[in-house]
Amino acid sequence: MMNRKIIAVILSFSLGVVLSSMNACSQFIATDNISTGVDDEVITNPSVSLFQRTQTALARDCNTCHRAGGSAATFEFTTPQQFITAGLIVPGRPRQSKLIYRMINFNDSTVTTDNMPMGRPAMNSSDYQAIYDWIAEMPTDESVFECTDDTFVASQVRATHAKRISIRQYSNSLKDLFSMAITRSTVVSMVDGALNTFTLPNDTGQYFRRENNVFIGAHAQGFFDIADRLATTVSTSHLNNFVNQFIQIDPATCTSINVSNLSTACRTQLVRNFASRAFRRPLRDPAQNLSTTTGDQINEVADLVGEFSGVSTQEGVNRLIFRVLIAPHFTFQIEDQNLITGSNLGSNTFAISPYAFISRLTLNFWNSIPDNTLWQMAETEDFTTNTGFNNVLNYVLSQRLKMDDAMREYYYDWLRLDRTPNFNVSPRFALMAPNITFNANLRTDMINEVEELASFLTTSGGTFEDLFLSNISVARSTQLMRVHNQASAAPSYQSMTMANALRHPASQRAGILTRPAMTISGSEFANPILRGAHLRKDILCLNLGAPPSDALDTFNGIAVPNNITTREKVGIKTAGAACVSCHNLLNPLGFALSNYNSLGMFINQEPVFRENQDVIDTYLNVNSAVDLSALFGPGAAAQDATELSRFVAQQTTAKACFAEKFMSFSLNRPVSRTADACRLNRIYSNLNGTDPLIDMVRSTALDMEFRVRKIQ
Amino acid sequence: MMKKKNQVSRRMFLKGAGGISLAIPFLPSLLPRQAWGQAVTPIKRYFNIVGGYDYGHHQNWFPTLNQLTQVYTPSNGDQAIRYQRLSSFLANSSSILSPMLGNRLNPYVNKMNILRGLNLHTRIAHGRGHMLGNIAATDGHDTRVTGLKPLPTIDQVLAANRNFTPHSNDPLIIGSSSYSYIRSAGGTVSQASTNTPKPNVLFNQLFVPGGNPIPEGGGGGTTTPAHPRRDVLTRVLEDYRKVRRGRNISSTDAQILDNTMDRYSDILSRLGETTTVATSGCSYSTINTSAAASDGRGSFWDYNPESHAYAFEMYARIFAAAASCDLRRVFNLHTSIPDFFDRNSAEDFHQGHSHQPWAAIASNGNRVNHQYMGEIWRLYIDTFLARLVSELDSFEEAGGRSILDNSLVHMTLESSTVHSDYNKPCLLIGSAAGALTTGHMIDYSRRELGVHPEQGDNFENDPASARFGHVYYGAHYNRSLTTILQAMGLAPADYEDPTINTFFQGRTDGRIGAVNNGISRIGGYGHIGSENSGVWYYNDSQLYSQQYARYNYHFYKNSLPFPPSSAV
Repeated sequence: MMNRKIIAVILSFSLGVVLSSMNACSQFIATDNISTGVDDEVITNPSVSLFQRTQTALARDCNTCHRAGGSAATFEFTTPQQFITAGLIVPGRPRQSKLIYRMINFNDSTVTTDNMPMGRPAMNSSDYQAIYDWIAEMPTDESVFECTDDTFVASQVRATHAKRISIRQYSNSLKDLFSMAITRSTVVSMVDGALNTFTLPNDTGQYFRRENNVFIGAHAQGFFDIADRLATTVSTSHLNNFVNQFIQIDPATCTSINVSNLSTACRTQLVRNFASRAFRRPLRDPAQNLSTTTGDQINEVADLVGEFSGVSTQEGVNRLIFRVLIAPHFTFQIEDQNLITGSNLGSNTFAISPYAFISRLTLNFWNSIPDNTLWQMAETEDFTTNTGFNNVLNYVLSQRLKMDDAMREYYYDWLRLDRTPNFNVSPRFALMAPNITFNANLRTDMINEVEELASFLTTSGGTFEDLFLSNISVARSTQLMRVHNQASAAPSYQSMTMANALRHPASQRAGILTRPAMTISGSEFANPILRGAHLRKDILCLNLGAPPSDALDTFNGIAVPNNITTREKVGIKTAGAACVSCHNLLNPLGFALSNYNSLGMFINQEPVFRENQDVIDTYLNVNSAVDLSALFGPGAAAQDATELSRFVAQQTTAKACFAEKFMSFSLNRPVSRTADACRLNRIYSNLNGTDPLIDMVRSTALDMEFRVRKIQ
Repeated sequence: MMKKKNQVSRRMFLKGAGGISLAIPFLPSLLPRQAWGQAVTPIKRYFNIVGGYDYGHHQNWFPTLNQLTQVYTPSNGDQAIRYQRLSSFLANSSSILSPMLGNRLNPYVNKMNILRGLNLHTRIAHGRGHMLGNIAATDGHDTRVTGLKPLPTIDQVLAANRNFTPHSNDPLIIGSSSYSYIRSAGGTVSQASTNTPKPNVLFNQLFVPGGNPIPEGGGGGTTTPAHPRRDVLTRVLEDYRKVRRGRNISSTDAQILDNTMDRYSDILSRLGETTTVATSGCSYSTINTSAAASDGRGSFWDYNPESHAYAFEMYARIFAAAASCDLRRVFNLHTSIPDFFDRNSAEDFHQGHSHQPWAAIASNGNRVNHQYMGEIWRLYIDTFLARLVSELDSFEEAGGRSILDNSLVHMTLESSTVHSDYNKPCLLIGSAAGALTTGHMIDYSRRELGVHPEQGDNFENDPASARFGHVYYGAHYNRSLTTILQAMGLAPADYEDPTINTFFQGRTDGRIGAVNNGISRIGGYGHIGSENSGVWYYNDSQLYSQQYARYNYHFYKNSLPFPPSSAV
């Protein structure tokens, strides 16, 4: 019955052909077998005729409402992948496909209040069978996005431009730069002090903060003031260390360092070593024969050494640091001359140099500058071979602690942890948790917990499923430990491993969904609706229409008994005809998390407060068992949060959503499910089974777009 | 957005790297002396930037071509207007107001007005005087306005009015071609001359007359040493310029770097250099007077993108400095588009770009000429207009208003689209000391009368067409000039000429519309249009009459209606 059309896509061969014309010395993209993380075989669409029949049937029975401008989401899809990414079908699994189980009057239907077609006769059985067979015959492979040809085509590469580094990248770069010469704790204090004194605008990207490329006057003023502060502090309080340590990185002909009277050779090496590390590339000097379009010779070394002219070493260092810290190549990622290499691959697309590549890697995955090891690798590794290329990439990905900041940033943004509510403390908190102080610090601890857990799993061998199922504890603060009823603190992040990690009882915590930051409401009342909405919208990337404008008034206006559980109250309040169709898709997700109270604590019973009094009258057993069939197909159910998490982790939509978000994060741009389909498939393919998440991260760096620059 | 600055401590830094600095206190007797809050009569200034050619396509200039959201109906029977807050067109602080107006004016949107629906009744096609009111100064490309009486343009009307300016040397006119017309003592109207030296020369002409610096007004003074980071920041800016001029820089890279340099330039302008500040009067440091040095570069005549932009920025600063010291009250910058912008090897700029709005530019198939026209004007707006506005707004005068608030900065062009005098651009920044409400796009179009019969060459009058010209009947363009004159404080007698527009007075035949029968005095400023009944536009008297009939000339003498209150 299966009518598979198999297309072999051998990326490495294609790339080799494309790149064979490049200069062998200057090219940076490996010409031997490049691993792209994509299987050699990509399975394409199943039976076209069944798909066509599906389209015809949907057009006839569904498009009255499901069309552009209609009253419901459009079904005017032209490819099977569009149905997959919209969460309407699960390839090979018709019974788990919404398109089937929401149909009215068939064996596999799940009875809800709004089976389809709404208000119309049931679809005729032959059409239904065609759709059923189309889904059943669809291969259960990873190609959820519509990738028709994964060959590298230069014209399809997105152009990239100069980009201001994010504020996190800026902060980390300053710390890592000065830590090359000054004790790290001193540097951290110095840099954080400057950043706290001189306000820089927050990065506010559309989804990921680092997408923000805006440079406004406040950035200029902030960078100016911080550079001024750091230059003054370092040149007055850390002059000897700064001079000696930076020269020692590569002393060249500076054989004797006299700080008070630096020789020209020593000044040159100080400038070279400091500024090149800041600029994430060697300085440009006449030997490189670089010039501007107006013919001016570029000699950065001489320009910067000039800061020492006629002034003391201290003043020269002061000027040098100030100038470097607001220089274009420190605060911006600019891949201009000699940072792209080789011949034009077409459409003004060029391979990037080793230094541009390590800069991309560290800015993306370390939120900082390359370290000395990478610097050496850029100078010594042969980037034209896969071996050299992968050596560099493997090194970057192996540095768990350096990756932590970028991974935390990703998870914070993806999980919208900025929306974690503040505690609106009432006397009832003390009745619910007598020994815990709920304040801003605890909220921060809760956010850090989710960030840290996810970052740890990503960089320490964890899988996508582990994100949702791991019971590892990272709670260390007294208050957070009390929330978890945890007796001892988790090992430090630096020393924590999969083997020595402290673990919560498996029945109580499973992955990120069950952590306090994801479940707290800010008040004494849990909010299953928001929990469900967060999960559905941000983690499953499924549409969620806006509630009616009077929804809150309606909700509040429905009287419910006081002595029932929160779940029961919400169930009653959302049972109305105007509410139930959407809340059927939200409430079960939130109800499955009923074992977590509004303060993030695991509970089996929830208190019933006497109305208008801070008194607990009784406790009621909570019920976290939910029927998920309206969401995940007939028979889908979860007894508790762990089972819900497992369902989520296995969802095509969850993995597709994650792939889309991570790609956007790593490429610093919005992604398109169609134009970026092949890339998304590669990321998606690393989110299965036992694949470590770090392979997913690796796949983004192996992407051709990550290794070339189109200038447009 | 105004930065509160005491005028006494104001410093204008016009110096390029390495230039000498010299304190020039100036004419304290002319400066407002009153304490804040005390009733004063503000000094009003009029600045205009007028360009030859057109802006390619209305979408280059206007924030929107859609119907605006709010309606205001004046109580005096004048036409209703539509308007909308300019800030509503900005999604964020870096959004562009329009492709041509860019985003550098964004901080001032609540002090601006963009007027739409201002039409002349006769096609000028090529003209040098109609932008500021002398409709007679055409090159005869279209002949319907021949035989009209030449008139002084409004800048000259203001300059000649001693109630407005005490300076007999007003107006200041720089530019590549003058669009200003002056009436001599004998009554002859002729094209005024431009004076377009390089910035350093202009500075000296204004501030160092006869080679002697203007003497200090208050005597004494204090010397402030340069900010310690000033020199290094200057070198950092040069680092940015080198990257900007470097290889493998995309156009977007260049924009990003330009923006960054602007922001650092702003900081640099606030970092003091070694300056002597007078104890009274305005003061600022001079620019290097050596033509060979940095401030000797840049002019209208030799094009290098960087030095050209530098020159315009310098002119803006000098205008503002001269205004702050009350050296002039009428400032003109007039420029056509120089041929160095020509990218069409087969034709000159005029024929190769302006006249072919829909043709692709040979050297860049992704853009068509009307986009290119907008891009060129954007350069002048970014480098000159935005800088001027920023500088003017940084000077605070008595009563807490900035010079910008007390002034009007006016921008218009020869045409809107090719040869079109419909939807003529009119940008006004400042309120003339509260004479105008601000912060809006205002549309005088009267869509209820249907589309205008002429949409501009190469544009079509079918609203469904991609080449629809978006022109409707509206208000007479000259009313914008009357508005300026009245906002500046002039009385009708100061600018009205009873010998013109007689064709439109006292009619009883309904030939220009029954509504316009029996007007005893048209008043206002400038010619309504041809007064020669034998020279009808389209050679079709019916069409011409229809056009006239759609305007109510009872209000020709009035300022245009503005929204009842300013946007905040």
